[in-house]
Amino acid sequence: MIDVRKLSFVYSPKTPFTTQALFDIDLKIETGDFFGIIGSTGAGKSTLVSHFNALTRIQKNSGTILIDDIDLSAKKLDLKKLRAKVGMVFQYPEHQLFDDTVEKDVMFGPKNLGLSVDEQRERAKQAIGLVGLNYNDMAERSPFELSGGQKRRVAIAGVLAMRPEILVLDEPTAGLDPIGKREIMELILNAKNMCPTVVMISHNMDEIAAYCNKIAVLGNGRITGVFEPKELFGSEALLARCGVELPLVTELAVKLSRAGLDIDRSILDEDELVRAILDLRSENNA
Amino acid sequence: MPLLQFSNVDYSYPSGESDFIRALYSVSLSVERGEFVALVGCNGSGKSTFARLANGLLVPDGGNVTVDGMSTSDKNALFDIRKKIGVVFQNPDNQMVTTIVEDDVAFGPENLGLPPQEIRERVDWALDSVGMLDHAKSGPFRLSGGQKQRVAIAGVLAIKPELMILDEATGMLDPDGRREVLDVVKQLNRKENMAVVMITHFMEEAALADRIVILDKGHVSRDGGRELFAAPEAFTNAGLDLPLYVRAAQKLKARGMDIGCPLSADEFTDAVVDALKKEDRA
Repeated sequence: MIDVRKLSFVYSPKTPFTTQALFDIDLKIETGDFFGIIGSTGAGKSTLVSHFNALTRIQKNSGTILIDDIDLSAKKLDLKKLRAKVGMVFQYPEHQLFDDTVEKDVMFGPKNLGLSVDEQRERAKQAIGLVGLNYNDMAERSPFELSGGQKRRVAIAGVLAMRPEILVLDEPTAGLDPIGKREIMELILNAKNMCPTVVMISHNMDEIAAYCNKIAVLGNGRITGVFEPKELFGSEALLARCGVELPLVTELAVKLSRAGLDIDRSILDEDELVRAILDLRSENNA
Repeated sequence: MPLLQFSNVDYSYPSGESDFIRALYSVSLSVERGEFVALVGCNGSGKSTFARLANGLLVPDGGNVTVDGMSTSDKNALFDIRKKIGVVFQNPDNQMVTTIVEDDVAFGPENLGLPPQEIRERVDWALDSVGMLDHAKSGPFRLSGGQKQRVAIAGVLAIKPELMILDEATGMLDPDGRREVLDVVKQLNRKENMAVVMITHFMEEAALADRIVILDKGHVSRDGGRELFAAPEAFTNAGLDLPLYVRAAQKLKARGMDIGCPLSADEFTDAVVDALKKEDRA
């Protein structure tokens, strides 16, 4: 569980450039959640999640974060233990590939955990499989000659090889083509069997609506609210207040409903929409 | 004379010591003044290579790229070519050159040798257009990814190019930001007759363009108007998705309800309402 209490954060404190990025954030993410974090650019989403593996350290008198039994505001923080527990996939993670073969790149994390070479390899093998790549084809290839989507999967495999309990992803599908996007989302769902808690930042409301069971909205460094998908996307008032866009499929449902059709405005799935339209038709014919 | 013309262009990247990856082959394509073109294709189809060839960052291995008649292979013409063609790339971090936002946006107009007053006006206008005027004095490195991308777009706007190429430039923006930037670009297209080539993965965005070019494994597989969407194989064969409206319309058709090929949320709504009414009467 991630328990954020009264977390604040200031960039460049005590300089003329000081900006407060987070204000008194309270947030609970339970084990097993597929937790979405949304909000406009500059809302503080990345700043917030970069605290979860202590890449950004909690400032003095600026609140606490508990991740299970680890207190992230403690002076002596066991970073190794924390980073084995919390895996972080940054924006454009493929920019962080560095080794000359895919296998070595993925083994780097487990190596830093002090595991034996056999165990490192075992984990790399599993992680490469989890992201949908063929280990035998990939292991000896240079990560730099792969396609964009493949590189991103290798980078995610590097994080999964740490076998984290919590996986944090910052816009995992940005810049990928639609099929690449779907593949990455499927692999995240797949990884969730092994790593029970997933936290995902995304601007893609269709993805958020389709995959998350809870959604936190951030605005100007504050939590505007935490909602279930149907609750948020089904309420125009909430959406307007939070400055959130509808998933495209919900937008269509709302437009149809406004045009006088009897359609649920909180539809979050394409097939559901198609079914709802076909239902109207059979009513007509009856 | 077309503003941008690719004639039988080939381009390969070296891979390893003796290998090559063919990024584009026999690509012929021209863009006229004032056009709004969406260039779509899956990752690795050669879209970004196209952008880099268009403004002379890369020079073709075979064939020719000309901008308003000037060849990009002519080094002396590059300065004039880049006055006419501005490219906004995917990753804003690689596009920032100074430590203050407004200096960054002024970099282009300064290099054009414009008078200070005009530079000031263009910088303010460009920042205002992308909604970043409030951040004029901040450091680019302190902005979020999406904010940086808007500054990068402002930097190109300030040059007032005749053709702007956006290479997945809205990928990092939130939905609001994406629409704002698209609105600005559309407005410039209409009012100032600035041609736009929008390289995008968002099929709903591509459906807004007058003309759609599909790149598949380095080659132009289709080039046409919005009617292309009526033949979905053109997209799916190139590894692309279809806009949601088109996908949903296809699923309805498969179940016996034909609503045509709507290309926006409003068209979709109207088509469904009409189809239901018609069936009612029947």
